[in-house]
Amino acid sequence: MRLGNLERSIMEALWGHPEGMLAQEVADALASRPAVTTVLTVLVRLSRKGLVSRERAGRAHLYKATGDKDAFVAETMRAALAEAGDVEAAVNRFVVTVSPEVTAALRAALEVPGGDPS
Amino acid sequence: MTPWLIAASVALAPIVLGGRLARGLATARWASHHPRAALTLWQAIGLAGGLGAVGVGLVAAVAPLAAAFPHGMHTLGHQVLDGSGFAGLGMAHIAALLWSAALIAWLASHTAHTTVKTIREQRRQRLLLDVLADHSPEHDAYVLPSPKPTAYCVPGWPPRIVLSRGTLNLLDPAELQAVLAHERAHAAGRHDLLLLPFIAIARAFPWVPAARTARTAVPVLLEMIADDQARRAQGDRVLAHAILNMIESAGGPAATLALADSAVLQRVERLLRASEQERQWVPAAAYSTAAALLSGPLAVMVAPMLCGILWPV
Repeated sequence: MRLGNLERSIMEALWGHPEGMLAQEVADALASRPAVTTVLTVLVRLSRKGLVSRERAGRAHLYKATGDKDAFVAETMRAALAEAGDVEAAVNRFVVTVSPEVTAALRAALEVPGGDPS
Repeated sequence: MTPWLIAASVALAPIVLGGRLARGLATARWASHHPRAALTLWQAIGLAGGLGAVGVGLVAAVAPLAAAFPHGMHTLGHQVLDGSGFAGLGMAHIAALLWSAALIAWLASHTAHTTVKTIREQRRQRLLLDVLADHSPEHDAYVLPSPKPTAYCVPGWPPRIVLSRGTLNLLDPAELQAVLAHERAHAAGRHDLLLLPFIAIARAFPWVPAARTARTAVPVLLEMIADDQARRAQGDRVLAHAILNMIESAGGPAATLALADSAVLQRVERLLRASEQERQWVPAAAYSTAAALLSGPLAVMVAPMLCGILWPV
C-alpha cells in the first residue's frame, strides 16, 4: 500500500472518531490491517505536519485530527483562491477572484459576438 | 580613463534603460498579443539589470590595477590567488568590491528564502491532496470534495492538476478541457520556476519600481501563455466562457484586488479581439531588444575570462 493511501485512511479513521483514537485502535480500524508501528510512524509524521494532534492518555497517546475534513478542504483551496504573496509560485491558479463589476462587464461583452469588454 | 568609462557605462546602461523599458512594457498593448516575447524581454531586463549592477562595482573596484577593465579584473584574481590580496586598491575600490559582493549575497539570500517557502507550500499541498482528493484518471487530475469551483496546478515532478467537484459540475466538457490544457501548460512550462526569480527580485529590491512592475506583470503574461495553449486546443470563445464561468461562480469576496481585475480583463479581451491583424515584426523587435540589453553586461562579465585565457600571467 502506498504511504499516501495509508495517510489518507488514517485521516479518514480519525475524522470518523472526533473524540480521538489510540494508535492500536487506528490500526484495528483499517481494512489493510497495518502494523501498529507503521501506523505510529505515519501518525507522528502527520502530527509533525499539523494535521494530527496528540495528548497523553495513560501509557499511550490519544490522536485527533486537528480539524474536520471540510476545514482541510477549505485550507487546501485557500492556497488556490487567495493572493498567495511570496508563495504565489507554489500553485498556478486558473482564475483569481475579481470584482462583480468586472464579471458583469465581461459577461455582457461575451454575449455579443465579437464584443468589446472595455 | 576612457576604457573605464566605456566599461562602466556598458554595465550601467541596462539599469538606466531597463527602468524606462519596464514602464513602457508594463502598459504595452503588444505584450498581451505576444506574451512570450514580452516575458523574454522582462527576463532580459532583470538579468541585464542585475549583471550591470554587479558589473559596475567590479569595474570601479579594479580601476587602479590595469589600463583596461578585463585585465584589471584578472589581475585582481591572480593577486587574490597569490595571497597578496587587495594590494593596490584604495578604500573606495574595496567599497565598490563590497557593493558587488553584497548585491550578489542579498539577491541569493532572497532567492533562497522564496524558493524554500515555495517548496514548503508545494509539499503541504501535496500532502493535503494525498489525504483529501480523489485522483480522476479520466481527467488526469485530483478532485477535491468541495462545491466551490477551483482549478489549479501544483508544479513539480510529477505536477498535479487539481479540480473541485464544483468545477466538474460547472463547466461543460469543452470548457473543462480548456481549463485542463491551461493548467497543463503551466506545469509543462514550469511557470513556477519562471515566476520565482521575479518574486525574489521584488522581495530583495522593493524600492526599485521596475522590480515591482515586473512582479505584477509577469504572472499575467504566464497566464496568457497558458491561455494560448488552451485556445489552440479548444478555441477562443470556449476558453473565454470557461474563465467567465469560473470567476462568476467564485463570487467576489469583500477584498478583491484591482490587479486581479485588470489581469482577467486583459486575458478575456485578447481572446475576443483575436481576429485583429497583428504586427509580425513585434516579437522580433522584442527579442532583439532583449539581446541588445544583455550584450553589454555579458561583455563586461565575459571579457575578464577571455582576457585570462588569452594572456595568462
